[in-house]
Amino acid sequence: MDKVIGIDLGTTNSCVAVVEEGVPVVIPNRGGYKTTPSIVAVTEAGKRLIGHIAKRQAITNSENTVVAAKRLIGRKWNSPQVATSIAMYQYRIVEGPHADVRIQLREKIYSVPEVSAMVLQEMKIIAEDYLGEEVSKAVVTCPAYFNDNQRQATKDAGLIAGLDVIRVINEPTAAALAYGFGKKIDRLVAVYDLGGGTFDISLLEIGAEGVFKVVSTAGDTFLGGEDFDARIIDWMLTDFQTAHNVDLRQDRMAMQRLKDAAEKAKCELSTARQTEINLPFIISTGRNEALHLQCQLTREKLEELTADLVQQTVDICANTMDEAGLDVEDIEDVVLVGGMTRMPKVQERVAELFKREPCKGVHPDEVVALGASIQGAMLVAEKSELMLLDVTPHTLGIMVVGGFFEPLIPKDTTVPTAQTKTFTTVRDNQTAVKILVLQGESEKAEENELLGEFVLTGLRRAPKGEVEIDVTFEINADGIVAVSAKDLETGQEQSITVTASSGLTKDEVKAMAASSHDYMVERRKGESTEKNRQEIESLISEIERHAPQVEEVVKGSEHGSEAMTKAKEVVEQARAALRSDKPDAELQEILDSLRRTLRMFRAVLA
Amino acid sequence: MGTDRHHSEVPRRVAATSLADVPLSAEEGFILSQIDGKTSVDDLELITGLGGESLGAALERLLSLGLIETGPVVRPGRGVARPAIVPDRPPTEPPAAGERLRAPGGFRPTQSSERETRPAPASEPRGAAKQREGTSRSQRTPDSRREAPEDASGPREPDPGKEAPPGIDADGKRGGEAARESSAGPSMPPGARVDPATFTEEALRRIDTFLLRANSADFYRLLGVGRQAERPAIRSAYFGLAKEFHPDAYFGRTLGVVKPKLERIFRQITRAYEVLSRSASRKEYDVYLKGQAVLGGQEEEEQAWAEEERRRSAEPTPPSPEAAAEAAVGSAGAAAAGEPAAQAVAPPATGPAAGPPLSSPADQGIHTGARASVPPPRGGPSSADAWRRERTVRQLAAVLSGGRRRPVQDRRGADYLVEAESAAKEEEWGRVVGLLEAAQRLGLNEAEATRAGALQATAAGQLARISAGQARFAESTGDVEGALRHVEQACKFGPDVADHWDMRARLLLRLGRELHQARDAAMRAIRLEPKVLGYRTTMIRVYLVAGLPKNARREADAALEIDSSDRQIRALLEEAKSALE
Repeated sequence: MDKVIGIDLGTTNSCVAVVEEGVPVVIPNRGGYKTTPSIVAVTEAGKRLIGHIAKRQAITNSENTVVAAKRLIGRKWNSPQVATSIAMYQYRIVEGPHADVRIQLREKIYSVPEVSAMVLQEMKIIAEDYLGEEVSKAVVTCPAYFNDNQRQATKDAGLIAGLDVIRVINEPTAAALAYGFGKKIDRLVAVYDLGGGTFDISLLEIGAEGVFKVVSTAGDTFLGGEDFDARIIDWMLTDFQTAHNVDLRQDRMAMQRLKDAAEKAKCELSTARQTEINLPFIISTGRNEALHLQCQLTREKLEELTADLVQQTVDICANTMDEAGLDVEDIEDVVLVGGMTRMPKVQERVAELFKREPCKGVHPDEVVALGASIQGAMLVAEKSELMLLDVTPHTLGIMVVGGFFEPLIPKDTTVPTAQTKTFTTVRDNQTAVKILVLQGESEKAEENELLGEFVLTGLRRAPKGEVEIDVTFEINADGIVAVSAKDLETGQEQSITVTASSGLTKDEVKAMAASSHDYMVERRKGESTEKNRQEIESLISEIERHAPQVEEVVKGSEHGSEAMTKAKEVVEQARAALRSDKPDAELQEILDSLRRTLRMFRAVLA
Repeated sequence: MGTDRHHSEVPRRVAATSLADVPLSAEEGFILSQIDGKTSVDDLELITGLGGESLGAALERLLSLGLIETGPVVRPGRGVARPAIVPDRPPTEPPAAGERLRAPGGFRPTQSSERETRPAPASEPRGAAKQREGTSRSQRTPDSRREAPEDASGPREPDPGKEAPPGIDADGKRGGEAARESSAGPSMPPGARVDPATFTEEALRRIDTFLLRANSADFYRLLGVGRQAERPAIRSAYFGLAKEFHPDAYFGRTLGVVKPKLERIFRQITRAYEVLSRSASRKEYDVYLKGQAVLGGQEEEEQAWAEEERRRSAEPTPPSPEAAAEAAVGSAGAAAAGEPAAQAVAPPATGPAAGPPLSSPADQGIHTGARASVPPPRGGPSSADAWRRERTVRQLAAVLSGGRRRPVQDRRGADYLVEAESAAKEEEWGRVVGLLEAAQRLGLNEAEATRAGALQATAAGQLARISAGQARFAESTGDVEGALRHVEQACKFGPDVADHWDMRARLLLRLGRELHQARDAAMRAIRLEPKVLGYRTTMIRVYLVAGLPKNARREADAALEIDSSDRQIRALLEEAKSALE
């Protein structure tokens, strides 16, 4: 059976895990880290960098380094979040052909799912290296409060990365799976997930039967560590401006340094009471003159700067419990997920809200990926011990006359589900209706996310209000929404499977997947070439190290000098090959002859 | 269990039996509602949750009433020999069924897997079902409505491809619904094959059983918990079932027609859990169940439910009051609530957000109208509708009991009257009475009060008649207690029918208790019909048993004045005289 990996595709960091012999484990990357920065960069030479290395070069290449692509995924060009991101990040965000968002890196324009796909591909490679086999299936997580378009975009990213995303699950849900895995507990749990870019709160019932039922979920897909960083940056900028009357915003490199420093300071303040931010030569003002940024940031100051952000999360939590009809006393445990929950103030406020100390048993950075891998394993298992009952996080409905939104499936409905409502015409002799499928909580249709639309035609000509149309919404276990409308009289029926738009057409996704595959092949090839070259080098040096001794031994023997000449020739050839750009096959041949030579040398010396 | 019934036997409904006058107990009614010509006795036991013995007894009663028939003779479970019913028509099962019947391991599993996998005939019954549905929609005359369930409950050819849950499609509509449900999922071509490796026969059987339960049983029964079950027990029951029936349990496998079944079961158990796991909604639901029982004049809510199912599926709901009721009650997670017409403003020129304008010349935008005469939504065919009804009843119950719930504010008595009238058309007399009572409490104008009065009289008469019939039947089966309960209803609703009082007296006499009540009852009968000697006979007997021979003699003398030749009274007179000595 194919292994299914679980990928936590985070805003700032990603993590991959797999279930091995019934135990979920996080797979470290080549650097030995368990998480990989979700950062993609393209160098001047056109080389693609992902992860830690991309993060390290960000200061000098901030224009071509994409961070927090997740904040843009599945969003429309004209959304306020995109506007905020444009102001916040150094890379070029441009409008795509379907009113979607694209990112320009050097000369090339990428869609957001493509960028996310690069990260997913990296995670795939990490898993493949670890498992020693190809991986094709994955469960990918997304914030619980993502809408269908954002989920679809995440799926597309998987597809582009060459992964069959068998399920997209919610991050807090995944965390709860990992938390309750193998514990046989009966508990109502709150998962507070404050990550790099998003905030989610989910309430789950966990049963000893191995069932995890989401009771309620809410969040903000644009509230996370990045916003905390932004507050620190703003503070530093203002300080600096007051002190030196210089606006650092104009200097990309300075901004990138500030960003790094802010993040670092924020992390340090989780343990330290205060920290020093020291950025010498932050900007040069005229000849031979440079300004330095030096300041102290205390924990109190940070808390003050970000108090409203923490408050927002607390409010959302309180609201959710209210909506679910639950009291604080009903919550039996609180699980903290996401790097931001390391901040003492966050822990304090959460403990205050839920009137209990949060559970310390899970690793906030790894638990989501672990949960995703558990879900993957349990889906493909012949007979699974676990079952996840998830909900639809947003209300689904259609637009009715007056531009109002008429809900059909309320938020927090356990899926699979289906609902039907009857509607009627608003005009005399109306022969068609347009069904606009929307998702969101606003009463006004236009404020909600449009998922799809279709037209039901062939209605009988009749006075308004006489023709009745049944509209049915169905959400299956995969979260796929199907909507159908039926004229009750004529039996005319129209339906669509709502393929939420990620901003990409199917063909585009296909093409991107193909090019990404090509890149993979190239890269794998490049890797093997690199490996061969390294081996050649080490063989040469070993041969040369043995050469004097061997020469000593074989001196005087019949074929001794001939053999030595031959060996020298081989080494020379190899050196030449290293200097030129030989194809892989030739390198192989050279490797073979080098190995033969070394074998011979060893035989002589033995 | 513990009987020698054939567990694999498949009882069927007999065609064109009118159920209006049949004296059935709640349990029998419920069982009858589950009989569809496909469900074996074994499965009935599973579905109804009744023990083998009481099921056996009930089946025999149904047999003896000629309501059902069965190929192989149902042998009596215990006790008295019952008349064996010879089927008057060939069995509706295909000939092969006989062979399967003999095969070890029972008959059902084979059948159900057959049903799932045979693709060809799938379209026909569906179409037919749709047509029936169409008919019942377009001809909304009372007549066609009344006939609908009967003609559909006749013998049906086995429908191998049909997905309708066995047992509920006793009438056209339910089949239609199943067809709607099946046509919903675009991912599911009709007649899609099920990978035989995916399901064991046992699993398929359980799925069908639970589909049936999902469609008809109350939430407690569906989850398999008792009415008093604590929350953890309910959760545990739900979680167990969820693990079994969530489509993810079969992830990545070909489910074909089983998928919508699983989804339907899952939806329904989830709803059951959501209602029962919150104390507020559970309380309301309990009131509803009780209300069903009380208002329907039934001992058990199952009958009410089953009746509800049957009627619902036979005809569309008459317009307006229901929708009005909902507007008043407010949305409670039900499938369809009527929307105030005030929302119907002019449609915008284009769609929201990025929706490109439509090229169609048609008007865009639709508005939600009062959900009037439409069949139940696909989301929960029977139950969603029952739930809507349930809310009405719940409200009503609150009104009736002067309860603590917020009284209905924006609903006038007239709305209840209209609803009562439509309930009358559906012959739901218990509801009629309850609704009228509510209507009167809320206030009616003169004309309405007259209408209400007339309707109340009719409803009471009908209830009395039905109760009396049930009492007589119960008495004939030796269930004196049950008979007494029914006759008390009859007396309540038909206090001016001497027969009811007389019967009450006789039953009390048979039980030998509360003789003063027996005397009062007998006296009332006599007062209403002084000339009927039979009532006098009862009176005399009551006196004799009560040890009042003087009174007995006086009564007998009076009786003989009406007809001096009556031998029975003479004999009783002698008895009284000897007792006096």
